[in-house]
Amino acid sequence: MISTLSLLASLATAPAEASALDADRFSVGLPAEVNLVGLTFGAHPEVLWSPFSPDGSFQVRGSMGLGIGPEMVVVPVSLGLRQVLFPTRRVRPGLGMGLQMPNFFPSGHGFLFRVDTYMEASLDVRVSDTIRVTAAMSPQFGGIVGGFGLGMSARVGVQMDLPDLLTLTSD
Amino acid sequence: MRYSFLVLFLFACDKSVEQSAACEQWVSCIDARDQLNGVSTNMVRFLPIKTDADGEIIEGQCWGNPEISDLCDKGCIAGLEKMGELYDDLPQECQQ
Amino acid sequence: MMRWILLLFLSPLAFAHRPQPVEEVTEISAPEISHVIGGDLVSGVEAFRIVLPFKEPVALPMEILVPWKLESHRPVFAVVGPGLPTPTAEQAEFLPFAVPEGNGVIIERNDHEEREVYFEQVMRRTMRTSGSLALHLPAASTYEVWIWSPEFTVGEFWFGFGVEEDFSDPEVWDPLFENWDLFGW
Repeated sequence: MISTLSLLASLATAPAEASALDADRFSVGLPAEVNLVGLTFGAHPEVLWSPFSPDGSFQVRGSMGLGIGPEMVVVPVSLGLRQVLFPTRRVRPGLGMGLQMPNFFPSGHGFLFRVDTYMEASLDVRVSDTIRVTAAMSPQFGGIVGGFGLGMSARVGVQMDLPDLLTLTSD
Repeated sequence: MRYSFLVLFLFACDKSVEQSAACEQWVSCIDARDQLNGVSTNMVRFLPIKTDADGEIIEGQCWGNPEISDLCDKGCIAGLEKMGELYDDLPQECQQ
Repeated sequence: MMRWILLLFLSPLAFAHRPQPVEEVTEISAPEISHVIGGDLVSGVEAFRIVLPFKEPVALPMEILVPWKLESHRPVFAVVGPGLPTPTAEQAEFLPFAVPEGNGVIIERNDHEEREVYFEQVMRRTMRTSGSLALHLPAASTYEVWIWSPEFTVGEFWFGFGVEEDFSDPEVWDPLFENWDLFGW
């Protein structure tokens, strides 16, 4: 925890270096997501930023999704950190944590704001030069802001480094 | 990391609210009925919140967080109304 | 996985009712602790009995909830026991069982035209509630709650009572995982 906070502090205080914001420091993920506590189906796109090294070992994760279910719509917005283990290998496990606002729109009920903590265990596998297939499980615990509650998301999708994605879209 | 989550939740749990007016009347009403019937009803959950030295709620569990307090407040309002429907000889404390 | 996460981190802090599936007769050993009793009216003619052995007179809130999508599903509950009003002939006809001699009854008819929609944040369920109702059970005695559907509608229901939480025994979570389709989705 302390090392994570130190990393965050150094991130916040370090002068912005041009290289840290280079396109090769960014990846984009597009996972489909199922919420297993309160059933919803949708997508939870994410942007991953590797501020310290382009190998993607330590990532800042920002994401916003949409889930639709029989009893509610959720629009989760997340900000967190992910540590990818063995970043140069084909198969890369990862662990992450952060904050998530699930943003509930329950059927027949007003909007409900809550701030949860989330954890995640992820696995990505490089399937081509430019594409990784990713899978993640992410439990959430509500109550930092708003009432106590739970969440559990399962995600499967694809991830590409931003330069590869830009090349793909410009082709 | 486990303990950081606990700390976050401890902060999150400090959301106590005051006893509602409806539940204050509900408590007075049950008290008055108890005196007439010579019994003592356990209604600690509706009393104003009281914690022990460790911060554990020992009275007024209704007021530990906004969601439960809403449940209790609405329950007291409906309970007083129901009392009025059910009994003709209610003490003055129960009159709405 | 959820089980372990709950047990490791959160069970002492959860603001939730203790889950239990309904049986034809459901005995509650610690009725002073808040519970949510979940069940399913499959044929619509079932009637369930929940037995609450109180060691002292109590006052506590109760309510009955159904899934949001079941707009016309309005199961009702009746509390039966000593010190409650004697049922009228109309009430006796309405009830699924005969009220024992010396006992009375309070009926929650779940008949508000507009029912409150409640979002249960722990399990993320959207529900329609009869509305919380505080009741005074004025004797140290065993009370029963009868749950049935007078219009013979079918579907799930959850009967909640009390507010005091106690999750010190991790096994109280087992019914949640064993009946995920009832308390989850």
